[in-house]
Amino acid sequence: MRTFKYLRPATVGEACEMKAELGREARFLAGGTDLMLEWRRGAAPLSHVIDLSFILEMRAGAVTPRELRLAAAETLGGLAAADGDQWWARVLASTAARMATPQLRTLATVGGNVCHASPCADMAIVLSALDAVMAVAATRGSRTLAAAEFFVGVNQTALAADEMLTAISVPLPAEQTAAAYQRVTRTGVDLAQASAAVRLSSEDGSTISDARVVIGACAPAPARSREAEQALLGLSLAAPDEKALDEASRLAERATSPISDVRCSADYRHRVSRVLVRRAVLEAAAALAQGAAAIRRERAKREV
Amino acid sequence: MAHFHVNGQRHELEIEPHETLAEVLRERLGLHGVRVSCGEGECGSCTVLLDGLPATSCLMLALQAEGREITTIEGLGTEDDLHPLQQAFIDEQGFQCGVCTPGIILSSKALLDGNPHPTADEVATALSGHVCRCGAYTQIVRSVLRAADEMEAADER
Repeated sequence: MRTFKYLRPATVGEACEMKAELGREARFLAGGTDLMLEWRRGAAPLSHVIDLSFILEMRAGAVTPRELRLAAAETLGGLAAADGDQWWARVLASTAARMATPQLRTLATVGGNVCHASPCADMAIVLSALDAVMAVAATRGSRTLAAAEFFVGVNQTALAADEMLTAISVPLPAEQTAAAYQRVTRTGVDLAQASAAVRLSSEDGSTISDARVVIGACAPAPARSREAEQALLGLSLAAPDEKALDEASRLAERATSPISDVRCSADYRHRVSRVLVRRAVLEAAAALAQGAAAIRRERAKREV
Repeated sequence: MAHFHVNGQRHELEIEPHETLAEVLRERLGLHGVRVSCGEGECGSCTVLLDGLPATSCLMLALQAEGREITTIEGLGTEDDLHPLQQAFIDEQGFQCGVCTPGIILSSKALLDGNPHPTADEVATALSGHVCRCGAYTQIVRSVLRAADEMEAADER
């Protein structure tokens, strides 16, 4: 009978020891929604399942004024249900709520979505735009990897055979910040055909002082465009210049290398990714302008 | 030995590591209301409640569910005393062949537990992970809305 051995570590340290000893054919299981599918299709050898879902330290996130620490085994359902009013809580919750189906979100985890590294992994795209840093553990020591280093290619990360993702930290800029995620799908529960994540910050509350632009599902890994980010600097939040927006979207699309597949054609991805960047910039700028106006009102009230 | 809490009962079972929760519920415990259709997490017919939340039991190892409270359609009402959702699905003809129905009723229960008065759109969104090949979607949404009304009326009585 085709089967595997099941291991249930209680700590990250134990999980790392198991992986170091058992090697590549032992696989970590968090939610299992990708791994079980792979196993059933016989896609990859699987000698041991190392179940991470009983490790309490992998479920505990934290937030400080400067950093959000997402636990790798946090479920997408848990994130989607979080109702924080902070810019980062909103973008993470609204992204999670659009992923897969409610039944899969109860099982699937943020870390699993990131480590599976599908080109259309929504969390990978959003976390890339948030400058996320991956915390990685192994018996020989832990390290951190920027999202840009972490995502290497289609279903490929920079994780070595003995390493595991334990947490994802998201820096929280001191300036006013907002982020948006836009995507197109064939149906509400399908994977993205293309997507765009944008994070904008503003020092003065009226113009863009810092930007991140990342396109998803249009390249082997999240496609960040520094050129597009440059083009957005100085733009008005309340009424961004149309020409500059067009230019930024055009530049962002140049960072992609889409393929045609079962979901849509490369040509469609080229065209729609520009539109998505534009929408995401407008959404984030509007949220930022609104937030800035609210802060100005608060200040005015206090001064009266 | 693995320990499972299913529909308020405790079970001790010797199982294989690769057995899914759906397999254990159906084949070891005889809970055939758990339906496996696509076996790939796409159709939603294998949905059970895990600590009150809908979960895809065909893609979950049974061992992952150890220590968690599992509810299947068999745990919802009895033949003599149906759950209001079950009664509403009969009254509104919310099913035809019935294969998708147990999963849909369980997802609906999770929805109503958190949001007792959903809109039709909220019902549709909560059930977006379910496929009904008979195409009874309109009646399904109507059934859930009716159950919400009935449950509110029962609360007031």
